[in-house]
Amino acid sequence: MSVSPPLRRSPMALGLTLLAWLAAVLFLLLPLASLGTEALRKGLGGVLRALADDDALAAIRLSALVVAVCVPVNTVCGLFAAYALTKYDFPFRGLLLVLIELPLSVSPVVAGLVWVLLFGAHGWFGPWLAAHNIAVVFALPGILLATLFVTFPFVARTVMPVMESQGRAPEEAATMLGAGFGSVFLRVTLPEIRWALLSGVLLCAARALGEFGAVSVVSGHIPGQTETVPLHIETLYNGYDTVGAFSLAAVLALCSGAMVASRTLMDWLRGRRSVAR
Amino acid sequence: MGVDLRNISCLFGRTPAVRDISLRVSNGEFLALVGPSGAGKTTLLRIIAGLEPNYTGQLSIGARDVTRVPARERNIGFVFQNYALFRHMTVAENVAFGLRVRPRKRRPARAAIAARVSELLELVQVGPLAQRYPTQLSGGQRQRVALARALATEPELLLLDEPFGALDPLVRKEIRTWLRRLHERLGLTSILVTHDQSEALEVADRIAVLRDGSLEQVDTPDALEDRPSSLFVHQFLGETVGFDASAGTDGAILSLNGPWNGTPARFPEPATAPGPGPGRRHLSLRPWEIGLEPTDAQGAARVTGMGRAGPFLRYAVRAPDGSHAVEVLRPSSLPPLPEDGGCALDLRLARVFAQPGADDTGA
Repeated sequence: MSVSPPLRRSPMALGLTLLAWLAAVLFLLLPLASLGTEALRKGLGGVLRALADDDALAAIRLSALVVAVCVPVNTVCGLFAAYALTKYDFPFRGLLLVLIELPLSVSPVVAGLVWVLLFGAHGWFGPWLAAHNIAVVFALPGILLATLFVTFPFVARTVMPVMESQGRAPEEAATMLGAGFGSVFLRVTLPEIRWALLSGVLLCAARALGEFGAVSVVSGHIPGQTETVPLHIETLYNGYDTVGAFSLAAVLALCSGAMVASRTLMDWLRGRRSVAR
Repeated sequence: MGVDLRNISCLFGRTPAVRDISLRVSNGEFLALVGPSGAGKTTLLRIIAGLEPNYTGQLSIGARDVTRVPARERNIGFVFQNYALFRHMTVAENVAFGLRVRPRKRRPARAAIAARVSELLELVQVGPLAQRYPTQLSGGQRQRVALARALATEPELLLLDEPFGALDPLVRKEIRTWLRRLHERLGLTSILVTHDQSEALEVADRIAVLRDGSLEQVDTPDALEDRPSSLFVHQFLGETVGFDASAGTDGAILSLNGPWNGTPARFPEPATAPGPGPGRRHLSLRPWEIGLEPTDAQGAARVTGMGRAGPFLRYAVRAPDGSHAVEVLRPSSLPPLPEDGGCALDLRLARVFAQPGADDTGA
């Protein structure tokens, strides 16, 4: 383990630290605090009543379902994409790298729109789908597709640097010792990247839960049916139901906060363990 | 077990990394593959291991043709350049890996694996470190663990890719003599890749010199030093001093060419010349093989500087016209030569090569 020199304390450092804290309070803590106070304006009862609303419960269920589907799918896909990209060399590897990052750079609205263009009533496959009575756009499949698209890069992107830094040597060593592909992957590749993978999964989950733009385009905003939590918040807010909107928003913020916190906790635990080693 | 390579070639894209190499390593031999970087020595080692599947030619290990056998079924021990230890496993788990991944039928019992692991860790002298993780070990210790792991499955062929590259010089020296003894004790056949010729000369029975993917020469360290097949081999194995010369009709060297023309010198017997007949020759020597004899003769070389170099005195010797100088090492037990004195060159120990490249005269 390399030892970095101890951090220095100087007036300059103090000033910068204060500035960073000021920004954090102004742009992060203040809005979050307002979220809490707005939600609690009619007391805790108001919050509970807002959350017990049928449409709100349906939105929570739908969001949970989206997370439950998208996170495992993208974990598996992202893992294999990262594996292929870092452990093998093949033609157009660079192009695939760009494609994986595409969802990060494309506006979510565009990400939603492409599905409408493909599967909407006037889209390429729209007539065929309609003839077979399959609903994609303005239904659950569309929401899932849009979320899958947007959250695809997270696992691959967090896992790739770790795989890259290790190169193919651990896998080759395991192969020389007689391990087959399955054994190599389960006993060597996966354990070596497990922390990065967990971190990527949490990021992916947080994004799947919070995705608004892409889902908004394909969902059709049918309350109780195709509204995820972020969409329902918008509907409530537009209907001047501030307590309802802020209550759901607070729940969403708490979930995301918990994910970020568990990621930080994980990193901290890992740091402590590697020092103890 | 012996290894037999026949007409092995390998392309990286369109550039050949290994060109038509045939080589036989006998059972129990320690062979070193040397060459400058990019010569294809690591590629050749990986082909033998099965890690570079895109090659042509035939490859046998022992009596078995393994040309199309995948790496995991070749039963070869491989020690990687940076050891490639599994970082999430303890030292003992690393060593046990090769036994644990065996299919159930061939897998030894838990207790047998544990016994084999501790036996191996004793063998490589890291017994007390069994429960440590690789990050907690020094370079030399990692090296030993990597070796124990490679030996766990009882391979009869051991391949080592620059195994001492990351070690500091003292540990390096110690661990290579130890490795050589281990090789003998276990009756292994070993192939070592290194770019450090002194390492190869010390540890190997035979050395294969590679250049641009081709095999330049395979021989014992002594034969390589005494009878290099090309100027490249001689230059690669150590510091050299070169002179251009002309040979007469009987193949004997007549005179030096270029800036040294006219300098009094003694030459090797015609028998060592590459072939009979007149023509241009290149003489190549180690700096300590050149004899200096004081003389007042016309056109003599001049001693222009000296310094101490271990058990030698280092002389700078300049051509008569001053345009060119070489460094010569002379045992400090001999009487020192006077500064700025004239001297004749004794080049009788030179290796003689035909037709050198234009810029191969360098020291």
